[in-house]
Amino acid sequence: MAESTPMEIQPATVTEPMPAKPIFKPLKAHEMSDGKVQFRKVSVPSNRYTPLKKAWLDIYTPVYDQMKIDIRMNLKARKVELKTRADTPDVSNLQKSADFVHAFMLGFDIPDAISLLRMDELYVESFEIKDVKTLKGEHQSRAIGRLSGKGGKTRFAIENSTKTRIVIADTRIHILGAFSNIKVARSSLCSLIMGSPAGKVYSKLRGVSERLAERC
Amino acid sequence: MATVTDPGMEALEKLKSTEPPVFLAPSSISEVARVASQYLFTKLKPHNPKSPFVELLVDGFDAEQIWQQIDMQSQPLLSSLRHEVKRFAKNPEEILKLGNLVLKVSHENDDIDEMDMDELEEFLEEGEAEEYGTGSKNKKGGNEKLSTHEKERLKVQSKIEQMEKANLDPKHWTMQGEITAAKRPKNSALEVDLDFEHNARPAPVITEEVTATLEDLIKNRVIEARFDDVQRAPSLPTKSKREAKELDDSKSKKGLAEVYEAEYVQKANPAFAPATFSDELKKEASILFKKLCLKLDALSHFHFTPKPIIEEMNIQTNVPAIAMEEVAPVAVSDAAMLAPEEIFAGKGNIKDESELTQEDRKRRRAKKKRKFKAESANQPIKKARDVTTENPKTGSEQL
Repeated sequence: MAESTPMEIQPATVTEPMPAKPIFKPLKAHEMSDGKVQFRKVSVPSNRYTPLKKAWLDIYTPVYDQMKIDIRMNLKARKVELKTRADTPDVSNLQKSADFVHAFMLGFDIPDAISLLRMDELYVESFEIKDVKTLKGEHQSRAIGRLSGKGGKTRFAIENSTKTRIVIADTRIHILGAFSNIKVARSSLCSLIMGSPAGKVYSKLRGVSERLAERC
Repeated sequence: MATVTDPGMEALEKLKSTEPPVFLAPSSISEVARVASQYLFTKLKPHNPKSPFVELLVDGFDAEQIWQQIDMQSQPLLSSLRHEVKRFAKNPEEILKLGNLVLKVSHENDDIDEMDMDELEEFLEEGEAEEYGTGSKNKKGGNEKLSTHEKERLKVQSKIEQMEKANLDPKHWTMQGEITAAKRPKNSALEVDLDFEHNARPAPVITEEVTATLEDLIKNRVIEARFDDVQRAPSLPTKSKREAKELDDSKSKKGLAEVYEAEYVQKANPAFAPATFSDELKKEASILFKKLCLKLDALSHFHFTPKPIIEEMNIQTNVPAIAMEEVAPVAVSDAAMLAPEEIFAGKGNIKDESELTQEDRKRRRAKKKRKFKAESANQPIKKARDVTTENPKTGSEQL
């Protein structure tokens, strides 16, 4: 036994290749909920019927081509119906498209409403004048006048400085934009309703928009 | 004395008889007055031996000068008279002794009163007042029996009266509080020492000495060539000016998505961010300035200055070099310079309807006919063929 055979040492751990981590693709819309199609219906108010007819192609193309959502107008029920497709990549697309159509119904322009499809953090906020202050008769009409300004000047100034879009439909006000921006726009609109003159609101807006620009 | 008749006395009498209003009118009365005063002067001379004038010099002297002479004589005379009166007040018995003189003096006083010089009158009145004063003194002296206490009381009483009067009387304007120039007498503020604080430092009084010293200083500095005035240190701007933000109150041309996109790009990669409005303005300004500079250079010298490179995208047309050397004026377009054969690429013989000859017309007609014949010969054959080809098809379908 001169030749000492080296003890065979088995390695403590056998490096067996681990099975590869499974990569699950996110479920497609039609695979969820047992392959049922998902629906959204957006009702069309009578005053937006004609504009919808005119802008139908502008609404239809991005929804159908980009978002891969089926869209049709139900003339009988006066509703725009949206439905997921087999090749719809994301479920959220359906909701985004519904939001987009809804924003158009509220009165936003197509180029502005399309931002709802393109971005995630945009919201539409709606409130009424009477939520801020109970105004009656002439006071109310003057408040609406203050909100929009001469030729919509005040409204555009607020829109441009806060990066939002505002729709003033009678006493209802809709704001489209990012959350923090909506807040700024809303506060300035509220102070206008409460009766502060436009110049004061402008000067406040200037300061606030500068601060907003510095922050981001 | 009244019996003495001389021109002086007569003049005096005449003056006496004239009414006071006549004095105001210019008349011969001044002559009379001069004579009268001269007479009086000479009469008073013996009482005042110190007077430098022997007699009143009238001829060629005006009223002021005559008055000065009278004044010089009467001043010491009046003082001596005062003295006399005081002396008489002390021992009244002496008045009886010299009754004659007193009478004369009083008479004199009356006469001088009549003179057209009012000042003299005042003087004499003063004298009289003095007399009365002494008179009152005499009266006081009369009740000398008052006790010291009573005297004291009288004194106090008078003091009280004085103070009351001072209180009741209208106050001096300086004590009336706020006052304007219109309310106080003219030039009255000049005499009053106004004690108030000035807000500004009083302006330095520029005298000849001051200017002289200044000039010397300047001259010295020029001679020494020492021009080392302290220069004002320029105040460094502490901060760059904050850009005033303008609120844009027109409808934005960009959609909301584009606005957020621009913002995102600005944040993520500022280098690739699209030019803002102010950048565009700056660019435009620089281009304008370069243009201006070019024009100014051209004006200032005739040397060639190369055109500045203006960073602007422009369409480069690849024009052949030959075109550059064309002699034709710029205003003439290239289209106008084409030769007829370039315009009409077809056959050479092109003629107008009016230019055609008989043979030409005949030839044209024959040609037209041939063409039509050829076409009509082709068509029916084609049609027949089509029919033949189609029919079997339909036939086969039917089959």
